[in-house]
Amino acid sequence: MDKDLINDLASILPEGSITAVEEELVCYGSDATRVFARPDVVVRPTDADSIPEVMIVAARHGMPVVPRGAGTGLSGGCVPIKGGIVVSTERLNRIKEIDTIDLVAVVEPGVVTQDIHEAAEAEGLFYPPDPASFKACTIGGNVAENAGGLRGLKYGVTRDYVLSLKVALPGGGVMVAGGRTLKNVTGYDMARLFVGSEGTLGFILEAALKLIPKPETKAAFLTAYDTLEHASEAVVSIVRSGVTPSTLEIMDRVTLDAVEAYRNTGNEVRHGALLLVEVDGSDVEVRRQADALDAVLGRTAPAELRRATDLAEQAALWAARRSALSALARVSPSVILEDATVPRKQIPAMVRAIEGIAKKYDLKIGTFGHAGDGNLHPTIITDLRIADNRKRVEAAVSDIFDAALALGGTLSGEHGIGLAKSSFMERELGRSGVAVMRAVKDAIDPRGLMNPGKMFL
Amino acid sequence: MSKELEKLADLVYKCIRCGACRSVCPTFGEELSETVVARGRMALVEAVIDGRLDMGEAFENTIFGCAMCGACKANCPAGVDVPKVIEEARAVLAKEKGSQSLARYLARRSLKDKKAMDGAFAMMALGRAFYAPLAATPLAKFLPYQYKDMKRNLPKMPKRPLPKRVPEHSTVDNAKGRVVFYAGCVVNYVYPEIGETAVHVLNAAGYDVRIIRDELCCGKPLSSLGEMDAYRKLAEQVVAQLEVSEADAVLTACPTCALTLKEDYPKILPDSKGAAALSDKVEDVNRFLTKNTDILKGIEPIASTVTYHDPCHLNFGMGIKAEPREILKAATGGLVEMAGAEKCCGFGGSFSFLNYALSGRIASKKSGAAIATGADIVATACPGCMMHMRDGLKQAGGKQEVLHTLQIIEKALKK
Ligand SMILES: Cc1cc2nc3c(=O)[nH]c(=O)nc-3n(C[C@H](O)[C@H](O)[C@H](O)COP(=O)(O)OP(=O)(O)OC[C@H]3O[C@@H](n4cnc5c(N)ncnc54)[C@H](O)[C@@H]3O)c2cc1C
Repeated sequence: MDKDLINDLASILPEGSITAVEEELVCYGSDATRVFARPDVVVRPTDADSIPEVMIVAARHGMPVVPRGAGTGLSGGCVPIKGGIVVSTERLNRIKEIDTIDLVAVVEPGVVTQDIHEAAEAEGLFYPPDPASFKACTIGGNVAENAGGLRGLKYGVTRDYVLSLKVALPGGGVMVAGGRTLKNVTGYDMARLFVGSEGTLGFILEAALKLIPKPETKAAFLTAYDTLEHASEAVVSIVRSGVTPSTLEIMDRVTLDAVEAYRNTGNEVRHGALLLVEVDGSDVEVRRQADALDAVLGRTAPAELRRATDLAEQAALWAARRSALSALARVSPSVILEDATVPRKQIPAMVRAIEGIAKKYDLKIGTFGHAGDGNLHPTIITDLRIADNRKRVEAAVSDIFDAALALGGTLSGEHGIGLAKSSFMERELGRSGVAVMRAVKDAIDPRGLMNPGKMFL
Repeated sequence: MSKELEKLADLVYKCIRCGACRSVCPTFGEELSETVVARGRMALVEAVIDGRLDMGEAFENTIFGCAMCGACKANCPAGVDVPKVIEEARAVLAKEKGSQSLARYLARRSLKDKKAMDGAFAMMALGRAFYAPLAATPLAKFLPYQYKDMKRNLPKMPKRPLPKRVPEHSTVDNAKGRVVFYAGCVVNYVYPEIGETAVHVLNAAGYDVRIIRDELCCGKPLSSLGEMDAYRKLAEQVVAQLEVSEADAVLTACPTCALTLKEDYPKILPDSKGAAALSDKVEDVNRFLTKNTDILKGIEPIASTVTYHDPCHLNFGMGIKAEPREILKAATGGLVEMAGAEKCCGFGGSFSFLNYALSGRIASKKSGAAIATGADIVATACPGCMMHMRDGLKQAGGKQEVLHTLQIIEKALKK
């Protein structure tokens, strides 16, 4: 290990913030993709203002800087594939401000998303983006991945709530992108550029987030269908009906069995697929929407239609849904989750395509996801320690991307490109699309030190 | 690389690194470091199995720095049995690296048989009396490690342990049944008054109660230090002691003992019919009282309000949450839930002795939550948690009394 680098870092950071102990390097080298690469050194600042200085030291040593939040990413974003300095934001977890008049939350990058939810709700406010990992993931990671979540259909994704970002640039400069006001057209929309940039452009030091009033109440329905295809057709009917659910989630039989194995509620899984639908708003509005939804759902000929009796039952339903990915690991140790997203009306076609791909490559696929957004998570369940499985998985993933693109969709709805999907970028963006992105990258990070090896880089 | 660890490969490989454990792990909550959360610990064990990492000092520290509360396991959708991995890893460390040799030696020697136990706890009592006054002085740093932490308020040890306070059989007229009360070491030697209360309350519920005069430790301290052979041996003896077929149930007021007897023994003694039979009979006293008896009909609520701390091994380990609350609602002036009632208090048995500074910080947060409720009493259902919460509350300036749920029932019994 480079002694000079450690010494230089030690001169700007308090004791206990730098480590090159092998055990730490092992722990800070992977995310929820399980891909591992060894960092050269891990830095865990307690003060966001020291990060620009870390960037200066990194530039001096020509060392990559890899931002890391909670490491719950599903595309290998924080994996230091070219080594370098992993800068973890775990200890930058202060909520600096909840402004109940401007409706703004100002937070450090390592704040856990759930803590923002709670702080906002304590003031009667609402921060809608809720990735299923919200109890662990950080706002820095959410912004960098433009995370979505269960409430995306009605409320949008992280991007829609970022007002401004304070960013440390490669080389040590600091800029504020965007502003605290809802309206702001001074120059390019730089905040949006950093949203979803996967740590490849700059280090987010602070975010100002838009809050909205908390919806008064909600109502949830659970409908079961004999097949996933049938359920996906119901999704189209719901969206067409004019009701905008706050959540519209889908789970297939494979997923439902795994979730039940985890939660052990004693409820037998009898159906091929399930939709979880929620509407929220004021009392009156929810009553009206729930009636409308009830009627629409009735017409989709479900095998079962039930309204959650109370908020506790609703919470249990969402908790069940959120455990889907991890619970699938009970079936087999490797879960390869895809994130291909299609226009809503193509969901039934995408479901058929996924089922065809599973058959073609003889793979077990559990499908769940944010159906209302056209964002499915077909999850291949296998054991990657066996070489032959690896090959079939790769071929199946490539087919899934092709299918999504053919339907007018995208490689990734919310998990990002990271490591796994980089080679597919050109398929979606074309050469010029990639070239423009590369030009942007070169303008901001000419030496390519920010999170190298990710996206198209 | 260690061959022995390899048998854990399938267990650790199940961890998909989703990070769900980060929101519940007590050591992570304090340290905010990936090396002290279940996910990191699993990654480390896997790295050793894969030959990417040697079992160095930092590895030992993180493996022995787990409070074994089981919150991660209870909240792991993928179903990774983290406490089992940690326990096995400790055993491998003990065998191959001689880790924690002093603590293991002491545990092995003192838990060997009843005489050794009596001796060891008498020594501890003496030690406490002798050292406690020194703990606040500069001489503290020369004290054995359990007394070194000057701030720690360890309980005064009673002169007479439980078997010298209650008869072997405490019977009632027209008994509804017979139970054995397995006290466990903390109740036996540190808080025998809880044992007396247990006997009294169970009698009041209409049951004959038997205690085991030469009761042995359940062995958990051995397994958490990686002393698996000694643990297994002890477990066999305990099974033999408790082969009291005439008893309807074997009850405990210590969730760790209950979890050990009920869940662990059948696993470590897979061929033992006695262990399986015992496992069926073991029950936590809160569950037994609420499910099998009418005791709550015979009480008059006390005026004080109460807040409740969920012992990890009761809640995460056995899923018992509702029963103690049912008792408290019936027996007190009101249950005020504290924020994070299910969070570990930081005790964790040997954990708090080996890592007192960290364990103390966890307790301090917990105490803050308890104080904030404004309740008169902090109730819990584990003597270990009581010890730690009393210490934590005292340091946090809390005035509340910490009581076992059984003690609250006793206060509320109609005269
Ligand atoms: C069980 C499970 C469920 C999930 N559900 C969803 C879901 O519903 N919706 C969804 O969108 N995602 C979901 N995810 C994916 C993941 O949680 C999100 O991508 C999340 O935003 C990652 O946050 P993190 O803090 O873990 O970031 P990390 O994984 O640590 O990092 C992610 C990326 O962000 C960059 N980064 C982190 N912090 C900063 C910073 N301060 N400045 C610049 N770059 C930074 C990293 O370099 C990396 O490229 C899920 C993951 C899991 C394991």
